[in-house]
Amino acid sequence: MCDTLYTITRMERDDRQLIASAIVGDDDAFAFLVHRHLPAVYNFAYRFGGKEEADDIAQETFFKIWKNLKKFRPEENFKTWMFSIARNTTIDHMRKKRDITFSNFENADGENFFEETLTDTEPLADEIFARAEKEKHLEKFLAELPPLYREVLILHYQNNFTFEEIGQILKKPIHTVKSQHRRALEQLRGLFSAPK
Amino acid sequence: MDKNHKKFLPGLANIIPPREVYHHILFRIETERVRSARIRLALFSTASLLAGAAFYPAFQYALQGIYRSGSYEYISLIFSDGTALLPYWKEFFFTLIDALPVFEIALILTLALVFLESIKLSVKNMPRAFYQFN
Repeated sequence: MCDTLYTITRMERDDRQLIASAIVGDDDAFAFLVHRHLPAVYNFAYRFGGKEEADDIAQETFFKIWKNLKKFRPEENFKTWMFSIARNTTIDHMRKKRDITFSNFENADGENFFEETLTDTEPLADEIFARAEKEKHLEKFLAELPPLYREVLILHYQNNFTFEEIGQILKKPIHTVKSQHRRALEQLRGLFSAPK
Repeated sequence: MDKNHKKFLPGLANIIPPREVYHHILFRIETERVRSARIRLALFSTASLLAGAAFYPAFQYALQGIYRSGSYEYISLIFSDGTALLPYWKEFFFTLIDALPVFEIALILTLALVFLESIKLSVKNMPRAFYQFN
């Protein structure tokens, strides 16, 4: 009974409390953190490297998180920090495999994006999501998007990050993120419309 | 964007990581903890051995310093005729302090501190350093 209560109490603790405990040597606290966030990190890695690489990327990400836990500032958002590490780990990993070039992630090709970022993407998103419900090939189409656009969609729609938080993860201004988001939706619409 | 999030999800599978990924992560971290503990154990054990080995010659050196400086005679006075010193305790105290071989005493205190701290940290790292993986 006491063990169950202890476990439940531990699981209710938020990320900051678990991090504070892990820093002072509570090994179980870090294990809880891994358990809580592994699905999100694994999903992110899976979208870029497939199953074979997702295992390695997830391992490396949490190892780096553990090594740098003392550098985490409590006022930061842990999920944002974690995904920054996950993203950088994914880039390093894929670059070593030469599957994705660095420029696929880093070139913000939307330099003339100011007008575009002012455009409301809501109707475009509505259209795509209406089709996505019926579309069996969503996974495949998502995998066909350039990594630059894919990561914005995954972070925003699968992990519930705001554009501002995505900007912190990608270390890009918010208007760049919005531009990439819009282009991602446009490309996805193009893929839906292409003859199969 | 919550409504879009909910619409998007049905078409996009949430991949469940295999259970072994979780265990691999914890195993890797534990391996690193054991490795770090072994390095620290090696360093602190060496430090404690060196500090322990250096303590005796440093102690001899400090004793020679006490004899050379005349502090030994002052300290002997305390034990031989302590009550006679009471009216002049302030002057005696400052004279004694002035005569003490500060460097030699600081050296043996430092070695003693290093030795004790190293032993403490070696003992602290031992359980993890000798951890056997199943």
